[in-house]
Amino acid sequence: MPEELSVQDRNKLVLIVDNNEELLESLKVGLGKYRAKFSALYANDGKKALEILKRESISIVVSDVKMPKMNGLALLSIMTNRYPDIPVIIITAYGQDELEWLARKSGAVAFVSKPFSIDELGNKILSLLQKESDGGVIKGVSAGVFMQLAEMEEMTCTIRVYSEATDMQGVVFFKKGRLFDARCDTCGGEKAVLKILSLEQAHIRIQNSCPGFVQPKIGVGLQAVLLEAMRLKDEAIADKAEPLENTCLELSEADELTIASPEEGSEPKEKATIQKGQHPIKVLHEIQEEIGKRFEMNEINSGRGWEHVVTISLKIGDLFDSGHLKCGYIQKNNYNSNLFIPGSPSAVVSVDQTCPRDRVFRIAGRIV
Amino acid sequence: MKILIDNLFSVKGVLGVLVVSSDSRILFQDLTRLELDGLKETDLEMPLSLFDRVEELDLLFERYRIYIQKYPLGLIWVIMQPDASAAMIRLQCDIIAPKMEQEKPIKKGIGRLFK
Repeated sequence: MPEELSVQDRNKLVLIVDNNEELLESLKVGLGKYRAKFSALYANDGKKALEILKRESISIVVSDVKMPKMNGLALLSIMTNRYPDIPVIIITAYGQDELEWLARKSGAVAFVSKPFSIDELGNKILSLLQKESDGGVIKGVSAGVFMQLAEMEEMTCTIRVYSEATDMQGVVFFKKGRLFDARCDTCGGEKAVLKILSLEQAHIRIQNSCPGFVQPKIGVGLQAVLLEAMRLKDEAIADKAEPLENTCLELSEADELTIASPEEGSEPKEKATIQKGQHPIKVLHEIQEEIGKRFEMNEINSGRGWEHVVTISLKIGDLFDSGHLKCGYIQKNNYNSNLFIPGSPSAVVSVDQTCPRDRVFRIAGRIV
Repeated sequence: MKILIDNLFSVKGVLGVLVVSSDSRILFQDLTRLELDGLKETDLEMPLSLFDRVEELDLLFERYRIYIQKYPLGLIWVIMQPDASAAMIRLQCDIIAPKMEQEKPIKKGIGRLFK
């Protein structure tokens, strides 16, 4: 059902999700008069909506609540987690106050009650689109420069960065000058900021607010991220390296470990991977160093013989499309536990029950 | 079982829960927040082979953290956001695991009439 759009239309896209074909048809016709301001894409249920969200830069989602496969509230819940920058307008039936309250609590920003006029919906969309750049639009400034300004001025804002050169868009969230989170393609957190910083010929739109439910997911300050971005850029120039998004290596290419391929007919999933170029033993040493005296690790070993555990861990990750494996903890009994960092070979260290596992995972999440 | 599992979902950041018996039967699964319809028992054969000699597995991936704890009748799987309160989730699993032993899966069909 999604309509094909030209590149110049892609900056302002509204996704309308409803299983009522008649309503969708009338919206297609009725919203046509707003084409100069925005274009609409359509989906019949939450699942299809998520597919479109993966491949298009959507500015606003308008969703009905009752739909097959995935209803509007489930979609809203996923969106607040994965696409916190995209406002959601919920379509409710008249008198569904409780549902409206629930949707608002889950992150919906506006509502339209059935029956509604096309202009009522159109005006709500326009008002939200205006908000997207209520702090101004800047062209020709690097995203990094603007982020430094946001930090210095202790701004609370949502920054949308669009690169005409690569047709890529990313979003960065600041609260009181602190870099909170970011999203670019399917990446979040620090990795997303690094991708955004690599965008060239950027077009920056500033929104003077940041959604309340955005949580801090970046453990390091902006300066550290900027330095890392510079280092990656230098490396890329020096090595003519592959773009950032290609730094993950399929395990099957790197190791002899094999993972069962998905069954025929099932949706192809991104396989769980290990990160290319990391040195697992070095990573464990870094973790040990950061944790300091609070926790003493035993001798770190090269994890030969641990291939079976890593293979099964990756298989588990595959089941949920989890991305690359960063770190693992395995407890065989009360006296025998290990931390491992996957790689070729993996690094393994035995730990006792005083191991601050969550802290180790936080550090691994940041450095791996 | 649903009420016990709701305790896990009440922890912020929990995205999915799976309960698997020691003979690889799926006793409960709710993966809707992960956009998954559900897993098949054959998907779990390889992962379950590890748990003959493992009590607990905690894995940090790029997108999710997956925590698996053994309980006397099988395994509890919790799929969560990487920054979810894992300590709270482990605590909830410790609390609900003994209660799960008392929960028996409902028999379907005529079999429920016979011992």
